Amino acid sequence: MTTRHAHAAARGASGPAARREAARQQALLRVLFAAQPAPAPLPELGVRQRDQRWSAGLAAYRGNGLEHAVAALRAQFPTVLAMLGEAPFDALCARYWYAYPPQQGDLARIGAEFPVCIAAQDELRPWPWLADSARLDRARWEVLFEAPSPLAVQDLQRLAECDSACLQLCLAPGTRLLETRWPVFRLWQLHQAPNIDGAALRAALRQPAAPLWIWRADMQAQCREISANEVDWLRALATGTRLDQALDAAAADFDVAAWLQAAVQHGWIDGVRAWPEASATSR
Amino acid sequence: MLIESTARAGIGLRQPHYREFRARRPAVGFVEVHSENFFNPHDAAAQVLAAVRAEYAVSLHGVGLALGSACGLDDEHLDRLTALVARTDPLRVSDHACFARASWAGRGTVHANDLLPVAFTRGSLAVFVANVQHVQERLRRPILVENLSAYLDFAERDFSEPGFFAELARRSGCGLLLDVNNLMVNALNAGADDAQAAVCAWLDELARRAPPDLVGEIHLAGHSRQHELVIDDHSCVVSAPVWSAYAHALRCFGPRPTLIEWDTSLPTLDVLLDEAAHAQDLLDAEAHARRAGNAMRATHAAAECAS
Repeated sequence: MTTRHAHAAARGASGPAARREAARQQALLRVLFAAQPAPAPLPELGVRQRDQRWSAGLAAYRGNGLEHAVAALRAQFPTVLAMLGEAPFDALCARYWYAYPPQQGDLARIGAEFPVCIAAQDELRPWPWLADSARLDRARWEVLFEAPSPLAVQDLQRLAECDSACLQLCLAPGTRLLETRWPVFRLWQLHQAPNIDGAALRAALRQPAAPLWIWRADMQAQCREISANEVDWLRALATGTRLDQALDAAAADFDVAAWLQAAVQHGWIDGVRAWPEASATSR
Repeated sequence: MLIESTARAGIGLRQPHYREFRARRPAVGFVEVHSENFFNPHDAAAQVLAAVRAEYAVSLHGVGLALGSACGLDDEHLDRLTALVARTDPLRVSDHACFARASWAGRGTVHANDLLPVAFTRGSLAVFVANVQHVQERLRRPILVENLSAYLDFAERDFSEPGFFAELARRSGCGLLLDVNNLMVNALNAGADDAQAAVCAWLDELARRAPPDLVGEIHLAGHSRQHELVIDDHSCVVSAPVWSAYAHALRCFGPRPTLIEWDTSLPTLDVLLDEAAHAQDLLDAEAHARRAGNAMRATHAAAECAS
């Protein structure tokens, strides 16, 4: 609870009766997210239902919450779903739901820890690229929640006119850098087809990994593999460093002009700020 | 032209119908959307909502505020809702009489993303009043709170359910989104001998206890029996007993904007529109009966004055 609302709650609902409700609600939530359903209601719940009626009521809530979570996770992680198949994916969702109960009332926001959950599953170890594929799915999902880049003409003028030691390039919020040990971009491409080509998958897995750059383009996520040189440059920009320092971080043969041209075209940057103004507003 | 919504029937607009709805522009009184599906101001759904809003009255119906949560509200969620309300200028804003959030040692605050039941106690009432007032202060408008279908309930209670809503409205200034199907589901799951009579008794008690304008909107939906319970799954047409109870609600509270909800096994748009047309027939019939009743009362009054 934030301080702002803690005050509001304290004004209206902090007496013993409200605290009793808080305890009841905590108890019900623990039952709902228990790995195994409770055979009988806890006394502090004070529910009227017993035996089969209790089990049926509890199952209705447990089933409903999980069903909605699975639908949300299927939308967020289509590549992982295609890799695992529906039943194993749904089983994974159930483990995730109980291990990482959501903290917000918007199912579009669950799933942040799904890649970590995948990495922790012993039976998924034979497919070590699954977690990074989930990270790619998640990045593609996240960028769609970010505002399109508002890069203005004066930003570009500033870039042409000012000393790079006085500027900062700000990456658009709808961009993500994903470093991976697996060729997840190629795997993602192969899983776009309705019938997945097993031979092509095996061949792809023998290919070297490449970092990925993900961005929002209009209403869709776009993605491409990038070079190690570009990663150095992007890492520097992502840390909010001065433009001259970011240029120093990039390799000598990295074509900054070409990158800037692409960045303007695709909305990868949302501002060119003067230093030290930039230091106060950098992300 | 903005299509008016006063005491008219509308439909819940869901993603599979977006394209067809916008192409056909059916004559419904209003459309209702789930608020959380439009929290992102930058996605395609936001564009659809803006286009629909230009031609229809829209009500925002939330599933995530968790107004009965004793740990308080999620201010980030409320911030997003406030921004959506500012963008949309909806006709009505509503959410459910449920809890979903609770603090959990070691895990912060957990949100079950479900409509979990509350006890009708003084403690719950105090929680609801504080939370509803907080929301209304942020949104700068009264909200409607919907009665739940509940699959578990609590032995401890200080109020009947209608009494709880009447008191919540009196103390917070909110209205009631009356879900008639939820009442039927609860009556069936409670094993009522005559579920329809039980629902009508609930409505009668609410009418006795509450101000006449408490009900700001009515929801109608289908339910299904799954194993031992009747589930409010919004998966089929409104049942005949729910239509009858709806007609009773209209007699109790007068014509009220009425929504056909359908969320599971979504049918064709025509099926939804047919259900809304039936609701509109009942709304029109009740409005006609009231006009006729008023005319008769006026005639009697005039006759008494003349004599």
